[in-house]
Amino acid sequence: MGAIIKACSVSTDETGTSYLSSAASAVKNCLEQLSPVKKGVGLLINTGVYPDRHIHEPAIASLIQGVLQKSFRAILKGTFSFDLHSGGGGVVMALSIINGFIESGKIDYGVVVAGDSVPFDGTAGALMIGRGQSDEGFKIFSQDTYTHYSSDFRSYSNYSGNAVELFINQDHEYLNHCLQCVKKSVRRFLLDSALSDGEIDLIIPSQSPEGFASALADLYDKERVVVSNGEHKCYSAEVIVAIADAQSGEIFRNSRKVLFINVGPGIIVDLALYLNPF
Amino acid sequence: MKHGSSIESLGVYIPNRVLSTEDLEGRLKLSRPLRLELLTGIKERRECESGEDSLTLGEAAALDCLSSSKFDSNDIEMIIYSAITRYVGGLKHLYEPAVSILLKERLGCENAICFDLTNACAGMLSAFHVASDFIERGMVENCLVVSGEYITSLAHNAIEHIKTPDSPQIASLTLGDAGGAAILSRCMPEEGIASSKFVTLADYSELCMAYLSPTQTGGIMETRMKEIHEASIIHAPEVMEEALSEAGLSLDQIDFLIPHQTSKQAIRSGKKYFTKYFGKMASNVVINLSEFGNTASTSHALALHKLLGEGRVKRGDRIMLLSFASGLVIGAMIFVINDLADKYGSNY
Repeated sequence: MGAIIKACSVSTDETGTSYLSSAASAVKNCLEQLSPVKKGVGLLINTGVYPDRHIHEPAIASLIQGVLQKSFRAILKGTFSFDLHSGGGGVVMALSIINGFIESGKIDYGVVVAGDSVPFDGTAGALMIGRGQSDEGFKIFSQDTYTHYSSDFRSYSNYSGNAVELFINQDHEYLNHCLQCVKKSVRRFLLDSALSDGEIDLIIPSQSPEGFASALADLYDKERVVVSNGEHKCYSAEVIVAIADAQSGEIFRNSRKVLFINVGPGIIVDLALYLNPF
Repeated sequence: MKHGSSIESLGVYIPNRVLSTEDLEGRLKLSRPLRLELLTGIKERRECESGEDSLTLGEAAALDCLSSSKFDSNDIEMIIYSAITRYVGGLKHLYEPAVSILLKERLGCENAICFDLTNACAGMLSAFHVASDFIERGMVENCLVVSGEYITSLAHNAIEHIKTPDSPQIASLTLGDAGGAAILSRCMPEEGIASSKFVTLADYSELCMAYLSPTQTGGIMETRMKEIHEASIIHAPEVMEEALSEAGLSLDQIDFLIPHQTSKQAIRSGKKYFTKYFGKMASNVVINLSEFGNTASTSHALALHKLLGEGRVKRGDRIMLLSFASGLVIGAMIFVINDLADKYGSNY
């Protein structure tokens, strides 16, 4: 049994500021693509980093669920929602949790939603995951952390005397360090999975830090690495936007072995091998 | 093979500085006294001193937890940071990197994967729920769950906003700072956590909201207390029933029911409702508010740690941790006390 991508949606907030409304819209699109769902969504995990109005509580995931509760009451009846923070790279870890809960028979469907409010444009991406056949879906997950680069990127909010301000400090070597870490993690991942580089048909990576995805495309094979067109000024949703980009053409459906790469501050690298159902 | 998962070790950190309810209430400008201590059962709570924050609270609790564990920091395979607050370096709310990364670095858990999980006051138990799945599937052998709640800024910030006894910021006055940590580890399938059920009732998602204050350092929280309390106790029995059914138990077979610690009055009214609903009740319902207040996601860890320290729980006792949190999240986790009972002396 493997857990497969059942639906993917990207939504943009018209005001360009609210993640909450675009996230609800992206999740709604996923639920509608599946409707009527006979079994409910067991997990809803939000991996957005920068929420509307610096909300701490409740989990943003429960506010997203709250927007949709009335329209999808049956589907969301037993849903358990929470937020997962892993810098810009939480999507793959959230997929790993959902995949596990499906594998252990606790849930039938799970949704991961990501996106960010200010300083980003509120674009949200949602993925609906459900049960697939044994020879398809997510197969291997892996995470490496490189804590010696933990100070490369720091972002925090603080009251500055007349407003809450967001401060971002990024080391000028951060991009290079991300590339080095990803190269090392991918090499190890392929070795542990008894796969050769050439066996990966498609790579869907984080797009940030700026220039990361195109640098990765130079490292591997340009044809195999999805580099988004930059239409959306998004962050944690990048991987989902890249999936949507790949799905809009032939490249995704023609690729059997897909490697997802999430990289974020820490430096943290999350990888997943996905066997695309044909 | 499916494994079981159990709480192998527990740790807490409580800051030294005491903030009494009398002090807090004395700063309010109300026409008549609130009688907060009488209503909530909270005599005092602890608050961070200079140099302490969410990270240091979590780190100290994690070190306490490791000191009672069979695992060294190098043995830890997963770290989940599960607090609401992410204050690092005073009241700076850290967005990136994940706090769990900083904990991994400070604790020297070189082999741990990590992420942060936030779910209001249900954060720590939600992390138990997720960690258990990884352990039971054999993906990791253990997981260190850590929360550092530096949350008293909400109480201090509420003072100037509270003009009437029904202010939406009254609940902020119950909050206290604390760190909590637990190591969950693999055990035999028939041991450890017998059941774990969590649900988000999102019709009530806006009844309690906290965010960074736009006019003060730290956070503010607005709660519709009566509504969230009523929704919590009305819907809890369904979740409790599911957890009890999966564990093959009835409520009167639970030795200690540890609810989220909000106020004495709320816990007592919940107890009354559950007794009527089930026609029976757990042997003991734990109230641990007097010295610590509502310590958000760490409240269950503190209460359980105190029970263990006092020697009140023994091997074989059945515990139900009952979670209520903004969202509205309701969760029930049932487990049997094992080696934990032998690890803690008279710490209280």
